[in-house]
Amino acid sequence: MGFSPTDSFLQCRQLLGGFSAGLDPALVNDRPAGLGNTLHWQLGHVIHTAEALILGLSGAPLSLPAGFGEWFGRGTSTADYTAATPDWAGLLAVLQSSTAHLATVLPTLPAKQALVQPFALPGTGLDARTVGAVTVVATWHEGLHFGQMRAFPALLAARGGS
Amino acid sequence: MIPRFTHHWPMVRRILAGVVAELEPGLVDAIPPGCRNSLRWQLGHVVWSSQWLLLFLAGEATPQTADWDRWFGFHTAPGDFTVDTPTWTTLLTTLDDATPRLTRWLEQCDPSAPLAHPMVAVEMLVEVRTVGDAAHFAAGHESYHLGQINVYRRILGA
Repeated sequence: MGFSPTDSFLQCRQLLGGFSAGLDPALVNDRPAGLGNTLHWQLGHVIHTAEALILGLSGAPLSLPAGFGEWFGRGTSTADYTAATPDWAGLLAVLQSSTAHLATVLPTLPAKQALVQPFALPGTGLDARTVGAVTVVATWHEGLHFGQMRAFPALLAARGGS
Repeated sequence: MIPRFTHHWPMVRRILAGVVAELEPGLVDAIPPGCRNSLRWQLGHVVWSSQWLLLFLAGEATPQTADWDRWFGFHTAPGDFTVDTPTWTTLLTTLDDATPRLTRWLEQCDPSAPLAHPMVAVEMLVEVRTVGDAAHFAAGHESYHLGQINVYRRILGA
């Protein structure tokens, strides 16, 4: 491992990718009682957010299919899905291609490089003005959703989904 | 702002501290159906693991007794609690006390320094060999448990 924000992000993504690939596809569209979304949405949201934060705010090209933000952006839910929303296998394929894209582009973006559009999340104190700082925010977000996703299978097994 | 390896963990801790301070104390010992742990265990584990990852692995003394390993170490659960296990209020205080101390430690240490106790489990993609590795791992680990705390909070209405 190295110590850069890029190293940290890619390490977290590797763990999330391994976990997601091992999930039972029969569970991914179920909602645990008391929660508003599914493993499918969680994974789509993580994929979308990483590229939107790191690449979008840096002015670098995104690799995601059209529609990703409308399906998986902040504040969306499975109710926003359309016929074009990828199924689980499709989402795993996008995860793989997006991770490869980020692993290629991130090392070309200096951590000190100013963002084209600074980031701030009201009410959290989170902000970022450089590529490195926004990569740290994206890594936090990825770890946060990884923790949530890891809780889903047990919750679904205990209560059944909806 | 240029993030050094020291930037990530304090950011996660600040967000986590804000979330746990708002939780309903009457619900912190409930275990969501199907889950192994409670919110009190989650917070205790975060307090324990941050000191274990950032101080113990580097060969530094931690203020936690061996009991903390038995209550809040990896793979423990509320069934391991005893009458001496810290209360929710005590855990919140311990969290607040530890944060500035750990932040100061991170600010003065050398990220490339090898750990006294490296943590390597290649099959689990874990290779924590230096102080910088440990800082990254601690930040990711704490983000992960914040995610779990968020799920528990919603399930329990805490």
